Formats: sequence, structure tokens, C-alpha cells
Amino acid sequence: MPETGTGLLSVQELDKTFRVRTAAFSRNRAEVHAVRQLSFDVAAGEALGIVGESGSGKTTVARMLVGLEPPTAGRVVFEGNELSGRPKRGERRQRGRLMQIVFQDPYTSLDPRQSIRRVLDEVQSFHFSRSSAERQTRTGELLDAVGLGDKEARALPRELSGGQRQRAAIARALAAEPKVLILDEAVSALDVSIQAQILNLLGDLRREFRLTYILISHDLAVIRQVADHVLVMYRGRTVEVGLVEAILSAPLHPYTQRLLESVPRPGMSLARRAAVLEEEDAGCLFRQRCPSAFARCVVEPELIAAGGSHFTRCWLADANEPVPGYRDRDRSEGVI
Amino acid sequence: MNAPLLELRAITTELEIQGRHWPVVRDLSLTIDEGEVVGLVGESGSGKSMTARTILRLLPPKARVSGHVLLDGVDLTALPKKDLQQVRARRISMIFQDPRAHIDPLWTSGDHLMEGLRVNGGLSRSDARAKALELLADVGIVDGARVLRAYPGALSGGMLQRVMIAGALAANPELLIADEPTTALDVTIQAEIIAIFDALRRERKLAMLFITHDLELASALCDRVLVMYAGRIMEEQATAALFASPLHPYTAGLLEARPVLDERQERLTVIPGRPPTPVETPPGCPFHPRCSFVQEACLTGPPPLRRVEADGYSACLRSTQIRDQLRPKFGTGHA
Repeated sequence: MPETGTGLLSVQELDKTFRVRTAAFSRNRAEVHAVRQLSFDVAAGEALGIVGESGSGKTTVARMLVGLEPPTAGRVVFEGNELSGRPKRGERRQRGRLMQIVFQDPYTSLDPRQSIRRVLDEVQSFHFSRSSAERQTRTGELLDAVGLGDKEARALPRELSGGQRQRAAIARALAAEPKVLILDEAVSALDVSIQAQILNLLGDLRREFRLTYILISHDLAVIRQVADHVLVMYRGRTVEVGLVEAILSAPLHPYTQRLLESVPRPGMSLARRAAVLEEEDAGCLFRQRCPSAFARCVVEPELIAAGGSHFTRCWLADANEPVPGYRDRDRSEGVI
Repeated sequence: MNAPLLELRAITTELEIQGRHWPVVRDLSLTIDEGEVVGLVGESGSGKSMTARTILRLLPPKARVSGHVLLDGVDLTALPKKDLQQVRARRISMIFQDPRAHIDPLWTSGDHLMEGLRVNGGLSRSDARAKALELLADVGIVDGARVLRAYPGALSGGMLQRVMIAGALAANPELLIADEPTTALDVTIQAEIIAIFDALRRERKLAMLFITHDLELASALCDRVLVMYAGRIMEEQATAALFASPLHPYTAGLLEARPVLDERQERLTVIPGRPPTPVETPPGCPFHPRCSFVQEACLTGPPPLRRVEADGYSACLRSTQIRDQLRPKFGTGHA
């Protein structure tokens, strides 16, 4: 396992199970294991990318970090202090000074009846004892930092364009002066030309405010642009973690490899694959979709060290594995 | 050369917005040949979905359309409603971004697939079932019998989109219009769906109008790409040529704005401002307020789509200059 407990933020064996109805109106409940013993460390000033598909648990992780969702088990440790899974009102205020979150849909964090200026003022009143003049000065600085003008500051959220609204949501998060900014698919819904503006803004803000980022995205190119380390999740599990260059240039886990192969580009290979109807909950969680699956995969491996900070949860990386590893294996694809 | 399967001739579509009619598609012409896959790419509000909906007259009430939509030379805009229904049932199928919004949640996949086969195809129940299983196999569903029994709520988005594609193929159409069919899906599932489209093109010679906001996705599948902005076609080229040597500053801007997998860029090149809504569209070239190549002539009227290369069209007055200036940046000229 990668070492934990040394960073600014340390997530230790975090687990989340939801009970959901098996069908609409049904009384039967099933357990969905959204996050499975997730551990990672984030150092101050680092940007960690979390990549995965819908249902991989990445948004649940973000919600547990900021205290919106209590974990079923595990710990979130910030600068050596364990944070409560169910923060009370006073704890919420403290938590807000540590971590803030920006969602894909900025309406989630902006009051529709308040102007952007008012929102920024209220966040400051909540967290700091500042005079009205001090708050106004700070609001001006925040608006400058995210590239919003006086006209936008007076507007209601619905009067802004999608890109402007996301700038406002980022300003709102920064108003609490958090140490960690969590970005949950924060640029996914934006048009390409607007997305580039926001990605540049994130780069500027990181330098200016010495922020630590946790960037959650399904888009590997966005992760590449922002993150230093990347953690790949599949069905609640970390399947691979390491430096972003290492993982994008030489992915070890077959799921990470599939993700990379699936990034649309001119001339990409288009392999037809059979659809998997139901997914097994035991053994390696990817094995039904995996072109390299073999007998041993009915048991799920631990994270296996693959050099430096690179870890992968795949038996093919096991040095004692009698089956040939990645490098010399004939990788015939599960193509139909 | 044969006549195209589908031709749009000078289409302008106006929608009622706040009590007035505003054009959302402006003077748009395009052709799709038999078996050809054409990509229509644009950001939100560019008019790409309204173009598709104009073809099958699936527009909001009070919409106004001028121009012609020719399917094998027959003008669909002049067709009586009943005949248009036949076109929709047999010749042109359409699939959408959100399959759940277009399927009855109380019908099983089997009900959904077999209804069309029995009503439009005149098949018996057992023949319809056999055909439905065959269609599901075509879209990569191995365990078809179980999927036929399943209600939409029990299927994943990717599985349901496969069922919708199977349904769209039931009548053996000549043209499939796919409007952002993978946008709501995971990246790996998106790649699987694109592979199905690619196989349909090769095996059935199915022609497609593939609508997406994602230029790279269009490039993975399409023979030819049309880039839309503010209701107009800005550029049209064969896919490889468009990526190697864009002719319009908007296309070049889109290509440069995307982050890349190979390396972190110091700064991404941005297109300043944002796309205009139909109400805000400026006079002249609609892109001119955001364009770094703008000159006075760009403000006088929207430049027409002109041939710049043997098979490359651009609605920019400075296309040749832009091409020569940008070519070193993008690649080695035409692939």
C-alpha cells in the first residue's frame, strides 16, 4: 500500500456503502459499495487528480471529504487531526476553512436569489470577523482573481453565462480561504473554448493562493493539464495511482489502459466489445471486462508497488506471478 | 457522381424566443452520400441539434423553416405529415443523448424493439423476437434474451443506448441521425458505441449524420466534418485534412483550446469571450468579435462558405492566409 499519514490531507481506508432500492417502489434493498477502503495522501501544494467513470465513487469521495456524506468506515485526517464524519454546525465552519468544493453545476453552490457580490460578502461574514469595508475590498480581489467584472458582480447567477457562473462558484469557494480546493467535474459541462479559460484560471489561482487541488474528472486530458498525481478508481476501488506522467505514458492496470485507449482522437482503433450485463462483486472488479484476466483474478490483489510512487491493483504487476507479466505477454484483446 | 442521399439546401430555421422569431440555423447547406458518415460539430447553441431536427421536422411549435431537405431528390419539407411518418419509420432513424427520455419506462426492451418490427415490418411475434435478438447481437449484446425481458430502469445508460441503436436499425434505414449519442456515457462505453457505428458503416453501408460538441470524437468516426458556429457552417473538410490544416480560425481555436494527454501546457490557447446566443449574434462574420484575424471586411456581411481546397470549404475571408500561417502548427499538410 502507498504510505499514508504524511501529507496535508490523509485519507485512510475510507469506505462507503449505500442501501438502495432494487427497483422503483420496491421494498427490497441492496447494498452498493460506492467506495472501498480508499487511502491516499495529498501534500501541501500538490494537485491530485481522481479519474473514474460514473459509479466509480469519485464524487462520493469528494462529498465525504467536505463532510456532506458520512463514511461507513475509515478516517479523514487533516494536518494530523481526524475530521468528524458527521460535522456539527461549528465543525462545519472549521471544515469550510480547510476544504471547499466546486461542483459541475455551479447552481449547486450559488443562491439563485443573491447577487454574486452578496454571496462573496456572506461567505466572508460567516468565516471571518471583518468590517464591511474589509469585506468589500476582499470581494473586489476575489472578483479580479477569477476575471469577473463589476457588471457580473451585481448579477444573479441565472443572468450569467455558464463560464461566468463557474468563475463565480470558484470565487465563492476561495472566499473561505481554504487550503484545499476540490473540483468535482468543475469544467466538464463547459464548451471547449470556455473550458480552456477556466483551466488557465485554475493554474493561475494555484500559483497565486498556494492552493492544494483535488481534481475529479472523467477527462484524462483535463487531469493531465492540472494534476501532478493521479488516482484511478474503478467501482469504488483504487486500481492505479502514481505520477500523472508515469500513468499516462505507461499505464499498468488494464482498466487504465482501456481508459487511455478510449480517449477519442483521429485514427483511434475502434474495437467492438461485448456488453457486460452484470458485474461481479468478488475478485478483481474489472476482470469481466479485462482482456488479460486469468485464473488468479478471482482473488482481488492488494495495491502492488510498481516503482517509485506508482502502484497498481493487478496480478500482472506481481513479480512472483508465474503467468507472464505485461511486458512479454501477448495481449490479445477481448474483441468480438 | 451520384446524387447525394440527403441534401440540405439553404436551410434557415427560426425559433420563437421571447415573442420574436430568431434564426438558429442560417443558410445552411450540406450533403450526405450513401454510406457516408458526416460529423456536425459545434458548441452548445450552435444550431447543430436544430439542424438535425429540421431534417425530420421535429421542431418546437411555431418554428419556421425555409430552404429544402432532399432525400433521394424528394423534398421532405413539402411532404404531407403521413408520408413524413413513413420516412421516419423506414428510411431515417434518429437517436438522442438521453435514451431514458425517449423510451417508455414501463415497456421492456423487448416490447420496445418488437413493436416496430411487428407494426412496420409486419413480422409475427416469434419472427420479431428472433429479429430483435439478431439486432441486439449486432450492437454487442450477447445475452439478448435477458435484455429483452429487462425494463429500462434495470439497464445501464450504455446498455440502454445499445438497445436504442438496435431499435433504430430495426427498419434497416438508409440514414441514422445520432444527436450527441455518447455524451452522457462513460469514456470507455463511448468508445464501444463509436465502434458499433463504425461497424454499421462498414457492414451495412449505413450513412450517418453524427452530431457532437467534441471535435476529437467526430474525428474518430467521421469521413467528413462540418464545424458550426452561431447557426452557420464555418468550415467543412475531410476529417484528416481538418485536423492537419484547419481553414477557419474558429476550428483552429477549438483544436488549440483542448488540453492534450502528452504534456501539461504552460497555458492553453483560449478563444476569448463566448459563443453568442441567437439573440446576440453580431452582424458580419458571427465569429469576428472573438477572432484574432479580424479585419474591417469581416463586419460587412457573413462570408459565404467558399471552396479553398479541392475538398475543403471555409466561411472566412482570410482562409488561405490562415491556412498557410497555421499549417506548420498543426501538422504536415494534408494527410
